[in-house]
This record gives sequence, structure tokens and C-alpha cells, in this order.
Amino acid sequence: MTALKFSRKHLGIPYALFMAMFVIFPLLLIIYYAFTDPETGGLSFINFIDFFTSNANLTALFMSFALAILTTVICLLIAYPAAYILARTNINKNGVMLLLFILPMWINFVLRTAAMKELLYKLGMFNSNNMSFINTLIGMVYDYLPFTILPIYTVLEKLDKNVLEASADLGATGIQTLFKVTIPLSMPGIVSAITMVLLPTMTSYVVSDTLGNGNITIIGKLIENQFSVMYNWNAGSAIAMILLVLIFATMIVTGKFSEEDSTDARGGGLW
Amino acid sequence: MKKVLSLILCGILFTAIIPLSSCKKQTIRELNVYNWEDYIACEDFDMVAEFEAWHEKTYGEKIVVNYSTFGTNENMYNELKLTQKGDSFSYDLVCPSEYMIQKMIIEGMCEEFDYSQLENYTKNVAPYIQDLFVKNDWYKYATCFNWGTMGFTYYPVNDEGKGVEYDDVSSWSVVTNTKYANKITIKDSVRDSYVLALGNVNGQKLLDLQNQPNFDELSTEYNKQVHELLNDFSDESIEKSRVFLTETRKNLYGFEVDSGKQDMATGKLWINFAWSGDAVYAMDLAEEEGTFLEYVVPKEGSNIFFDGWVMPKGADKELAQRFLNFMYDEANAIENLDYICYSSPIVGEQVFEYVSENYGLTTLIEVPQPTGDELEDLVFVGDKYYKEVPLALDPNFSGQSTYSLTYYDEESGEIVTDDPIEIYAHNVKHFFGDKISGDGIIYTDSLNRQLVAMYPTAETMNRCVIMEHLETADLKKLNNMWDSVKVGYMKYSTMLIIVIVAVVVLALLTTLYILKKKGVRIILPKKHLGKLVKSERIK
Repeated sequence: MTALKFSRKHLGIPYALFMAMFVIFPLLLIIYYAFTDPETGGLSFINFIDFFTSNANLTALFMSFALAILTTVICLLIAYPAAYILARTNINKNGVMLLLFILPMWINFVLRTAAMKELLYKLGMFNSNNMSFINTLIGMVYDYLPFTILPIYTVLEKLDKNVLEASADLGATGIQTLFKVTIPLSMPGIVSAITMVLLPTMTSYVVSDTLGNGNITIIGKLIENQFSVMYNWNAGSAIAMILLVLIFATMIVTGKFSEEDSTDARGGGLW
Repeated sequence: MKKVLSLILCGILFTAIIPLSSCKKQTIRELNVYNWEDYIACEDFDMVAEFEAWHEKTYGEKIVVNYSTFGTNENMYNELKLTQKGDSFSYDLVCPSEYMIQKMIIEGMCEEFDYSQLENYTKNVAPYIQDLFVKNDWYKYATCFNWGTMGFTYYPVNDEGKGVEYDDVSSWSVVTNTKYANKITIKDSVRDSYVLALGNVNGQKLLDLQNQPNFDELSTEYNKQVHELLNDFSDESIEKSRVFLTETRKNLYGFEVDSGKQDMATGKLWINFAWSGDAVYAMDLAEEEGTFLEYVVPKEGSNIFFDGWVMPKGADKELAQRFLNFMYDEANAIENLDYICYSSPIVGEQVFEYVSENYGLTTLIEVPQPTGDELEDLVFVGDKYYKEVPLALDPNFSGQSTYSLTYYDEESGEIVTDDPIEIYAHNVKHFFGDKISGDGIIYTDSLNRQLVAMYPTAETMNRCVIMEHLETADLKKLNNMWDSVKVGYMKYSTMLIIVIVAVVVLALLTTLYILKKKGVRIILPKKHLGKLVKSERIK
């Protein structure tokens, strides 16, 4: 019998346990619920059939995707220049500017959304209920902007300045360097940013409820409804699973396109 | 040394995951109460702490009350089900709304009450509420805690002509009125908004009931007919409601469950579909800002709701009933009434006095020879003592329609007599019944404010009905209707086009990507030219 020897590997056990309990097990539960009939408890596809035959559910899915994609694109358009300026210029010498961008993240999310409502109301954005979509979009962009800036900033900051100098030496203009060198090298940061914005915007119904006055229904709200009003955990899990699969597919596609040219700058992918 | 340390750290991490439930000792009896958020007095008068102290004093036994709160009936139900052990639940006393109580009774989740242990209930609860519970066969399992009606809180027309006309808002059809476009919210909850839809869909039928010959506003027959029309779950009515709500929402500001109170007080909204308790809260809130809101129950008829206490299976019945008995005590009920704005079912002389003083009109009368105990509450001005009393107790007042009230002006330190104002008499005898000896009249300056919202007239109460608990199939139908209203409708062809476009774009990108990987470069002629020119320049 060999004595139980402690090795560095054992330090990983708590984390493995944590993962098993809080990631793998809940995921299995969701899959289990999604594929069982709420009445008989047997294996069935009824939850998925119900979802895809209901116009309301599909409309909500399309709406959520539209909202999520728009939010992500706007976030990236704002965040990239911001991150670039923060990483490349002297403006952020003592970290204050970066702090100002991240600071909102430390204030309660619901509170920020409520404050945004008051602000938009003062600006007259609530004068018509056709504005609900725009208001929700503004709220989402505001809430998720820090999550977009940070990963891009991390990657851009690590970017080797010699690469840019080489690009200039070889005759590229500033714009050419940006599109041919900087952006391809910062793809991991962009992909991380997309991952962190796309899914949450499809499910954080606090924003759509507060700023959309309940006029915008996103897929997260439908999941909540199935769980807490209909007591139908099976249907709720099925919607969650569909969302998971769709997001996964989106991630694989975006991930694939970003792989090229970026293997050196992988470190920033942690975000 | 390092290894030992790591092992210890590892062990700590391990034990943190294992629940420490085994250390609990069962020496002190515990009462687990599960109630709505903000639904019990807890500031100056802490109901829970008072009960613990009272229990120790009365029974000589120290107990602990574990008080926790929930936000929706459904959350409460899920929590109960999740913590179920065999046949018993981990709470001794919960306070759901009427439809959830019905559901829990049907599912056999409740313990029966022993009314011999609840003498304060039979003594102090309004006869109307007691009858309602007996009539519906809930009394065995549930006791009423708070109740109210559903209606509209609104911003009445002000001097500049801005605001809502009473004639408009006293009917369900106000939600379709374009005069108030983007100023109305309804509830983001299918049960409540379905009543609003039915009130419109069946609106004419409801009004026709009132035009029958020999119509009696207070008859049980009328109440039954309203009950039927407002509990109409036929496919036809659900479809009509779907069409109605889809059309109406264009006229609305939106849907809410909680933000309406604040939005009314700040003036964002003019009309808010609300529970009467929330209406009183909004009125109190707006009053601090100098705005005077009003509340009305639509003339077609509406919903009456209540929250009640039930003991889930396996509850400590003795302790739970002692707690209820304590809360149903008149003095304690007043403390609760003072903290939350919902109407209490508790009635009696003390409650009547509290309501008259706080929600009715008061005036100052002279007290010729005050006794020692009275002195604290009196105002001494000039060389006379004055006492603030409900208007009904003013000897100079005999039911006139206009009257001048007197009050003590703190700034000048004088007794001031106001300009005459209109006086309305509101009778609450039908609710207080024989629990009070007087005629039950409270004088007020408006029939659309807190007092009447809390204690509606007998006529209003007779046209308010309970919305029955729904079978799963009906609930599903209703929920599908609601989803379709909330989400809207997108044509299947549009969806198809979007999917096709997305697939085509993805396919194109993938092909490009694969080609690039294989080393095939597609260079467009124009771009190529541009590059050539540039490289020449650099040379």
C-alpha cells in the first residue's frame, strides 16, 4: 500500500469540486429538465416543440438577438477607440481615466438602471412608447460598456510597440497599421468583449423592464416567467438550453474568424 | 512545513463546502414566518420582537421567530416546494394571496386552524371578511391578513385643466382613451391585467346588469353575476382580450408591478392600475410633494383581493396560532395599520377611532375642565384648552355640507378657523358591523382618497369579486395570450428571410476563410492597382 502523498496536483481538488458542483451539475440539471415532460416526467421533446411552435417565443428570440447584436456592435464602436486612446496615449498615465471607465461597474446595476431612467425621462425620451427599444438599447450599452473596454484595453496595452514601428518602417500609413496590424492583433480582446456582452444582454430583463416600461420582452424574461409564474421548470430549462446552444454557435463562429494572425497576443483572452 | 500548510489550507477549503447544519441544537422553539416584503410593522413597534417578549411573559417560555420575506407568490411557492421534507414544510406560517391559498388548499399543503386558539380572530375580524372566508370554504385553512380592491390611482384635473376627469377614469374603458395616451400603466402580471381586459371586453354586459329592472346594488344576485363575468376564462373571451390588449398597449406608457407608485407621485404618470394599498401609499407619497392623487374602483365592477395566513403541513400549530392571535389583537393591529397602507380586516372601537383621526377630518374643540390624564394631548392657547377630535364629535357640527374647521397654527401659535370646505359623510358601518356601537360615519373632504380607498362603500364592495384560482390548462392559455400581447407578433416569413440572410452571410464568410487558409487569395483588380501605385511611390 502506498502512502497518501501530497503533491501540487491536489491543490486543484477544491476547484474541481467547485466546478463539478456549480457548473457541471447545474448544466446537467438543465439538460435533464429540458428533455423531460412536465406532466409525466418521461423523456420527451415537448418543451422544444412548444417553444418553436409559439410565435411569441420566436419573436422574443429574434428581438433579443437584434437587441444583443446591436448592443454589442455599439459597445465595440465606442469601446475600441476609448481603449485605444487609454492604452496608447499619455491620458491614462496614472490610471485615473481607466478607473473612471470601470467605476460604474462597482455601483449596483439596478441602481444605475433606475438612475438612467430618471436621466432619460428628463431628456424627454419617455414621451412615446415607441422609444422603449431605444431606451433599452441605451441602458444596455451603458451597463455593458466597461465589460467591453477592459478586455480590449488589456490586449492593446500588451501590444508590442515594435510591431507598429515595423509596420510604419515598411511603409504602412497610420490607418493601414490600424486595420492590418492593431485590430487583427487585438482580436482576442474583441472576442472576449463579445462573449461578455452578447449573452447577458439577451437575458438581463431588469434593463428592459425598467427602461422599456415592460414594452420590450427579451428571452430572459420568458425564462423567468416559465420558472416563477408557470411553475414550468421544464419549459424554462428548454429555453435556457436553446439560448445556450445559439450563443455557443455564435462563439464558435466568432472564435474561428479571430484565430488567424492572433496567436501571439493570446494572453488577453482570459477576459 | 510548506506541505503541511498547503494540506491545512486544502482542508479549510473542503470544509467550507460542507454545510454546517449538524451543529444546530434544538433547545429553543422556533417559529418560521414567511411574509411579503414590507408587510409588517418593524420600525418603532417591532411586531416580531414584541411577540417574542409577550410570549416569554405570558407563557414563561423563550422562543425565537425567524422572519423572512418573499417578493411574489410564485417565489414563495417555489421556496416551499424546494424545502419540502417528506410531507412537511420548513415554514410554520406563510402569507400568500387568495389564488395561491386556493392552490395550496387544493394541493393539500395546509394545516387546519383551531379557532378556539384564535379568540382574537373571531372577536376582532370584520364580519364581512369572516363571511367571505366561510362562504368560500377557506376558513379551515386560512385567515385574512390584509385585503383591498383593484382600481385606478389617478391625477385629478387641476386648476390649469391638466389631469384626468373623474367620469373618464371611473370606467375600465379609460385605458383606450387617447386623451391620456402614454400616461397610463397597467400591471405586468397576467392575472391582474386580465381583469382589466375583461372589464372592457365584458364592459357592456357589466353595465347592462345595472340597468335591469328592480336592480339592487347590494344584492347577492348582482354580486354573483359580476363574479361570473369577471371570471370568464372561455376561449372566446381570452381571444377577445388578446386583441383588446394588443390594440390598447399602443396607448399605454407601459407595464409595471412596483414602479407605478413612485411614477405617480413624481408625475410621470396620470393613471396607474393599482391595488388599493399601493394607491394609499402613492397618495401619501404624493402628498409630501404637494400633489393630491385620487383612487377609484371602476363602475363596472372589479377585483377584490386578500392576503391570508396559512400554516403549511408540519407547522408548529401552537406557536403559529399564538402569533396570529397576538397580531389580531386590536392594539397590535393598529400598530401594523400605521406602518403598512393596506386595509386590515381588524375592526373595533379603537380601529374606528384611529381611522377617523388619521383619515377623516378633525377639528379642535374646547375642553372646559380637563382632567389630569388628558392634559398631555391638549393644546393650551390663550387661557383655554383645546382638543383635536374627529369632526363627528364637534358639538357645533350637525352634518352640514359645508363647514369651517379649526386647527392650531404652530407658527403664529394661534387657533385658526379655516374657510368653509365641502364635507362628505362616509359610512363604514357595513364593514365594522356590530364591532362598533356608533353609526360608523366618518367625515371627509373627498370620497376618492385614502379613507374610501381603504374602506370602500358597501356598493363598491358588492361589485368587487374574487378572481378564482386557475387550472393549469387555463393558466397556460392565459399565459400564452399574455406572452403574445407582451412580445408582439412577427411574421414567419420575416423570420425565414432573416435566417436565410444570416446563413448566406455566414456561408460566404466561411468560404472566404477556408480559401484564405488554403493560401488562395482573392485580390480584386482595383485594390491590386492601388497597391501597385503605392509601392511604386515608396520605391
